[in-house]
Amino acid sequence: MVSMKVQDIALIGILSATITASKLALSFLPNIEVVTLLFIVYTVVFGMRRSLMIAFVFSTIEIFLYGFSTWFLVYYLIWPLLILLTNSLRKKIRSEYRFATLAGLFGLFFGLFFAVAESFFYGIMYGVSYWIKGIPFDIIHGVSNFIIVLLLYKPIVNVLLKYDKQSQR
Amino acid sequence: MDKSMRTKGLLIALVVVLAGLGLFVYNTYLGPKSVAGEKAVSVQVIIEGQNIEKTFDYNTDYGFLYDLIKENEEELGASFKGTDFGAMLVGLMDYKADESSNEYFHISINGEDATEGPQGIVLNDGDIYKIELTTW
Repeated sequence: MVSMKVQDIALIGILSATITASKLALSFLPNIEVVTLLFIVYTVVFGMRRSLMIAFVFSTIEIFLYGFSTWFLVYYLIWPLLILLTNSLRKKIRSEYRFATLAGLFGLFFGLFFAVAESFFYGIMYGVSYWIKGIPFDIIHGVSNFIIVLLLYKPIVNVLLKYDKQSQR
Repeated sequence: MDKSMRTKGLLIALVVVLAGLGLFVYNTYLGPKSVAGEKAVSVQVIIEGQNIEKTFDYNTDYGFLYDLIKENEEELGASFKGTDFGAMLVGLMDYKADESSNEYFHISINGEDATEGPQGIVLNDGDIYKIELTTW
């Protein structure tokens, strides 16, 4: 069994709440979000294990907020996938350009990932139609993710690293 | 402005231009195309729980179902809700679909289930659009 410190439990709760609140705050803007940015930042600063737990808590809260639907199942896969990709990148390079590209591509293919999952439930034609219909939103998602991560990744990482060091003392 | 910010500004501008190009290509080749000219269409509304079953016949120049319903919003007692995927029909004949009971308005075109929302449904001459309150 994985042992967790009290500090970890508190941190996961706070960071999950931050992600949920930030998603709700921007929900009036179609496909513009900071969830991708925050998962990338959390993985870089707090590590993969804690970020995966945050993703689990966040996805579960989404179900409590919006009700159960097929696309929420994808949430349990897509955010951990982003965390795994970020984790594999962070070992090699910490440049915001690399993470902005990852975030941009993640947003661009977000709809495709859902379309594949939806086609398991409703058929391939539904999946294809779902994806094509959502392409403009995927483009907006990809571009906004790229810009948000490019501009905000470094300042947020610097602040969080500072507080993380202080809390380790 | 330092060099890093200038590079980021240029990159952002480039990505925005590419996105604009992508949206243009999408709208030109993949987006729904409306049919020009006057069309005679029927909108059939069924809300079983309220004993409502009415058919409305329209002659319209509009290209999409959304615009037709919007034009006749009062007669149809229609209301919409904005979503990430466009406008969603949430009310007809002044009856609002109860989301807490999983109610929604299901649209079919000439007996076939619609795969898009009202803003993506193209009006064709002679088509019958059945909108029925149902649950998921």
